[in-house]
Order: sequence, then C-alpha cells, then structure tokens
Amino acid sequence: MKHIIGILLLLMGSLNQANAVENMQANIEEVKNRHEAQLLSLPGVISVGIGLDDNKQAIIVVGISSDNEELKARLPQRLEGHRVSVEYIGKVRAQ
Amino acid sequence: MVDTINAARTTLKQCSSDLLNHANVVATGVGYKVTNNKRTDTPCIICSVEKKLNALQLTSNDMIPAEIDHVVTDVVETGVIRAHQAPTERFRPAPGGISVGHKDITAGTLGCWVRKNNQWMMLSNNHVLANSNLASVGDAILQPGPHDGGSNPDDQIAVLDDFIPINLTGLPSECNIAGSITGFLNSLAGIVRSSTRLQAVTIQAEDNLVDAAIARPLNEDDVKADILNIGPIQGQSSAQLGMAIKKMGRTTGLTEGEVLQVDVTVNVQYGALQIAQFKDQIMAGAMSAGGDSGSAVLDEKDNIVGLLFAGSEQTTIINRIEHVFSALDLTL
Repeated sequence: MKHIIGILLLLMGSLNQANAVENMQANIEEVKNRHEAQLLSLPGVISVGIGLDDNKQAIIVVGISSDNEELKARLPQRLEGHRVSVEYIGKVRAQ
Repeated sequence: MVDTINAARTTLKQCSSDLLNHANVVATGVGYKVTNNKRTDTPCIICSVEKKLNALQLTSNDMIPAEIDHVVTDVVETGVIRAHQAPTERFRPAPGGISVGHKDITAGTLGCWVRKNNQWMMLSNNHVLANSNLASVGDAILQPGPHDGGSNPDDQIAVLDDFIPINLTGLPSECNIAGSITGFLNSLAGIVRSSTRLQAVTIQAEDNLVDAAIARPLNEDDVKADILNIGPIQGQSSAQLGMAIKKMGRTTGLTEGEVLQVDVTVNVQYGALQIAQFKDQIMAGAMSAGGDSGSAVLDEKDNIVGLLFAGSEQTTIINRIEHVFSALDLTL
C-alpha cells in the first residue's frame, strides 16, 4: 500500500512539473509585454517581438538600430526563462 | 540548308515586315528550331503567333512557308504581347498594387479595394492618403501619386473618406542637457533598484495599431478589385509565425517574404522629426522600399493578412488586417 501511494505521489509530482513547463511557454507574450517598455527605453532599441529560433521554439527578439556591442552587452540573454535574441534591424521608417 | 545564325538574320531582315503582315503573327526572330519539344542545332526564323491554327483555318497567303531562302521556319504560340504597364503609371480602372497618393504627398501604394456600407473604398496608409494626419476628409487622392506625375484635378481618382489618426511624438531628444539629466536619474533608479528607466523624449509616446486610411472613388467604373500581378483577393486570414507572404507595391513590385516576428512593438520614424510606437505588428524580412507603403500583404492562397507601412533595410513592418478592418469598419 505504501508503495502504491508513493508511486501515485511521484506521478502527481511529475504531472505538475509538466504543467509548469507548459505554462511557462504559454506565457512568452506576457513576459514580452512585461519587459518591453523597459527594453524600448534603452537608446538604440527599436523593436521587441516574438520570433522562432532555429529549432522552431518561440523566443523574444529585440531589434536594435545600430550594431552597438555596448548596447548588446546591456541586453538580457533570458527573460523569465525565455531566450532573448538581439538582431540588428536598422532604423525603421514609414515607407 | 543554312548553317549559321548570321545567314538566318540576313534573311529575316529581308522578310520580317512581310511575315508580320501575315494574320496572327505578333513577332519574328532568329533562333534554333525546336522539334518534338527539343532544341535542335538548326538555325531558323521563328514566327510568334497569337494562336496556332491548322492549314484549313488559314488562307494560303497567311501560311508561313516551311523555308524562306533555304532558312527553315518555326511557328510558336505566344499569345498577345502587351507592354507591361509599370505600377507608377496611370491606370483606369485602377487595381491594387499601383501608385497613389494624397495631393500633398510624394507617392505610396493603393493596397486594395474594400467595402464599407456597401460602397467601394480604396485602402492604403494614413501617411499615403491622409498626409500623416494633416489632410482633411474630402481632399483629392491622385493616381498616380504626385511624385509619379499625377496632377490635380486631372488624375484625381478618389476623395479621402476616413483615416485613423497616428499618435506621433518628437524623436528621442538629442539635447545633451536632457541626456545628462535622464542619465543621472536613471543611475539613481539603478541605486533604488527600480526597473523603470527614463529616456529624454519630447512628448510621451502613445500606442498605435494601424497606419490606415480609406478613400471613396469618384467613379465606381475606376475600381478594379484585383491586385496587379496577383489577381483577386480570395479572403481574409491571420498572420502566423513562419507564414509565407507576398505584396505588390509601387516601388519594388511583386515581392515575397516570411513572417519572422509577431506581437511586435516597434518605434517607427515619420519624416525627420517624428516617431510613432506601434503595437501588435507583423515583422518580415526586407521586401519593400519607400513608396511601397499601403501595399496589401497576402498569404500563399491570396488571403489578405496585412497592410504594409514601414521598414528598414533589414525589415518590413505590417499592420494586422484584423486591426485595420475593425478600426475602419471594413469588409472585403
């Protein structure tokens, strides 16, 4: 009986963990929304959006207007568990 | 049998105008004879015809002889040859994908024709049809746009009907004093661990979703509901990451791209002095240039997904069509 309860507890624990991972990925929009005002306040940051990495995983993409190493160094590599990619996009103008 | 292309060219010079008088012939040239769908090494005179007909359908005078001065001939069907009209020219009726503009701007792109209250409306950007908020409803819209030779009133095609104002602000200040003050305040914010940082901006930015405007045609006969080089719009769809997209625009014509980012918040420069922040935008790679603004963006199945309005050398920024249609109460 003890063993069965132990196995059940283990199973429930792993289910919870799986949910936690799912929730974390579903929240990438929220994480982006929480941080974008601060990111966009940095001079040289032009855009913040959601893109895909080479493995088709959703990532937060920060667009910068000049290829500035100092700025890149100031930007986070992860935000609340989500990978951040920094890309040079130049100045965006109405066309 | 003549075995050099030059000899065939000499013969063609003598008989070209005679061949072009044959019914159905639209072009003549010199090339290699194609037999059973395979190119041979035999030089020949090629007559391009609107439609291939059999001997019974032609008078003997209109038949192309099998040989002319020992040079063999070939007949190929090319259909009617028309001069391609550039998107910067005047079109009546006017399809999407061509030059248009408010009388006081340079030129942008007529995205497509849409419906509002059972009436045709031309869809493009505010900065194309409403001169970035400066226009008045009823102003003249020219096709082609003024930069492409459109003049008022000869080339007026529509009147401005409605536009969504863009919240524009001053550019981030380059004033050194303001920069030093914000720098000092931001360092204080760092000390007190506040996540908020300041930037010297002339006016506080407000969010925008669309750069959109509509214009009512003076004459419904001028409306061509297709998009140039694409055809009719099949429906409406929602842009997704990785989706293949295309647009037809005044400057770069028909180009293709891919949705690289969604949910994009982006600062877009208007003219030299103003900036506007847009939320929930679509970002694609480079597929446009100045003058393409207003282009309708379609998916592979020709469903409309967006309205192009901005870009850099690396990117293209597109409004979601859902936001455009709901802001201006439009349908296809």
